[in-house]
Amino acid sequence: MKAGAFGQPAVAVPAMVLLLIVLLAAIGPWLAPQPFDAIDFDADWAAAPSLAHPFGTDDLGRDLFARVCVGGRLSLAVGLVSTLVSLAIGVLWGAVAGWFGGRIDALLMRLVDVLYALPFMFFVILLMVLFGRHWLLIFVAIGAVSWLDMARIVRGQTLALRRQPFIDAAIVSGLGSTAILVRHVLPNLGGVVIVCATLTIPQAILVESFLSFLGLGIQEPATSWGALVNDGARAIDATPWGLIFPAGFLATTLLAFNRLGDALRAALDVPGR
Amino acid sequence: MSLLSIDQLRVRHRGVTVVDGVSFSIEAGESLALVGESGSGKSQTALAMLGLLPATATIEGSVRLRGEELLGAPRATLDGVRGRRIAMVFQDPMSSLNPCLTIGLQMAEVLEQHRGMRRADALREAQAMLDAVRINEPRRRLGQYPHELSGGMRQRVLIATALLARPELLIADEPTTALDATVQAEVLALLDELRQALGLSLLLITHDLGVVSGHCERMLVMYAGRLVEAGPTRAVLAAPRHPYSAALLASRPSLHGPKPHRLPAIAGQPPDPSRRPPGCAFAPRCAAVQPSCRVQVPILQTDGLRAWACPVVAAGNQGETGVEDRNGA
Repeated sequence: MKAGAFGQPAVAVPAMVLLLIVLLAAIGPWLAPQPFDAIDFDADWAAAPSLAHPFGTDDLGRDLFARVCVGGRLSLAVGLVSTLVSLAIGVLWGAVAGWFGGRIDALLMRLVDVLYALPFMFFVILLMVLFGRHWLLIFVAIGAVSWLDMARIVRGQTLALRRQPFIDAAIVSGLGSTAILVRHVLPNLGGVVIVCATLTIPQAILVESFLSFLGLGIQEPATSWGALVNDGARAIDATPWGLIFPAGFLATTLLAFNRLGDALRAALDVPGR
Repeated sequence: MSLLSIDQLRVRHRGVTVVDGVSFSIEAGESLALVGESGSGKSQTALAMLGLLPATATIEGSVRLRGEELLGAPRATLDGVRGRRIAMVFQDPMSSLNPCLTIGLQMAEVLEQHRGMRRADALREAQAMLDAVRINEPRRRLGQYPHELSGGMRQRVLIATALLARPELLIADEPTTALDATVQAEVLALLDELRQALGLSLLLITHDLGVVSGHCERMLVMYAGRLVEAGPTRAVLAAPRHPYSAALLASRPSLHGPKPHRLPAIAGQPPDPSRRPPGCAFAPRCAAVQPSCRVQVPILQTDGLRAWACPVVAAGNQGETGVEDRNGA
């Protein structure tokens, strides 16, 4: 893996944008004029952006800047969790299935197929019914499905790697099966894994927004970008800023992650010869 | 006892026989060439010996390393043999190194595995070995990735890696095919030198008779999965007994004698392994073919020093192979 990848503008620009967004979500609420769930009784309800409220206020008089920052925390956290789950479960699952093959492969991948076949909304609603509405369930639901793509992609890549002469060379040099998986296969998956992860993040953020939009996700007064977009869309005529700011942040983040994934794929493409 | 003895090795892929009853042995310190065209089963023989064929292949016969059977041995036994006692260098140096790991790590790995060395010691030893295969700035190379090295250098790295654990036998499967002619000569000279310095045996798999004549004491010729001729390189090249070896020799350019208008080629194609003729596999292309050749598979006959699988030539009419003997060496 080359450290120089971040020196390329195609990688550096989206990375910088994401860094700024993460920073804003982290420290933004302290910069905001009032806490995200406090109501400003002096200002108008649904006030337009001004010096006092840079993003304006929502229909209850809550500062939208603070709410966008706090909402970003949840959306980004969902992205992070889905990535960690993909990396921890998906990569291992796919690599083991692809490397050992045979029955192990069949068993592991049929399990993935079963989870794939499960209707996602049904699964989420079932969780809500069983455990009640809790913000942790969003992470559970998204975590449960986000590693499936990773497992499949990693398995395919492992199958391709298995036929590479350098794997034969490693076998001939007397390395055990597990040692080859850890030392020779996993490092070669790096590029694919990073790209797949950067594409999983926006997907998870979108799923959370979708759940919140349907009212199955985060509950008031807590919020996420998806929930804010939902609120903003309802009052788009009267208070367009309520939609523009969270939607802008959401779109920028998704775009940045997608660009980053694409650029990393090009930059990390390991030269074969 | 021979270092490695192979007896009646037979390899089948989904019912198609690609190696058909091959037997030979390698003595300690010997350099042996396995010659044949593409598809003759020479690489399959080597892969079968080391248990590298896919699980779908059926392998019969026996491969013994100093009396210990390797065919069907458990993975743990094979891991102790591969790399430690028998090492192999593959044809394509471009793809035989892991592109993600530094040269040093890939070399150190072998020593950590087989000699339980610590990383620092292993790297020191790897550096010494790179120096032995005459790679300049060996210390710097350890930290480099395969794509930063040239093809010839990578093949040297592979040879160095193969020799790290001091194996008794090195199998080189067309080690120079992917290299430039000048680099080829250097790599072959290096193999020779290392073989003598370390006292290891070499099994060189090649289709290049020039390589054989300069670097191997004994040679085996394979055709369509069977051994057709074996003997000391000098003797075989000077007077081949099997029409196939003779035809191979006749089709190579020579520096001596009158320049032929066109190089003679062997007419026809090697048989499809799934539709091999019933008798001698070479019969359809053979200039000295007899009716009996098409019926009966010729047995390998031997005079103690050489062996050949052709009854026609055995009758003493070498002149009738239709090919003039030429001084190949």
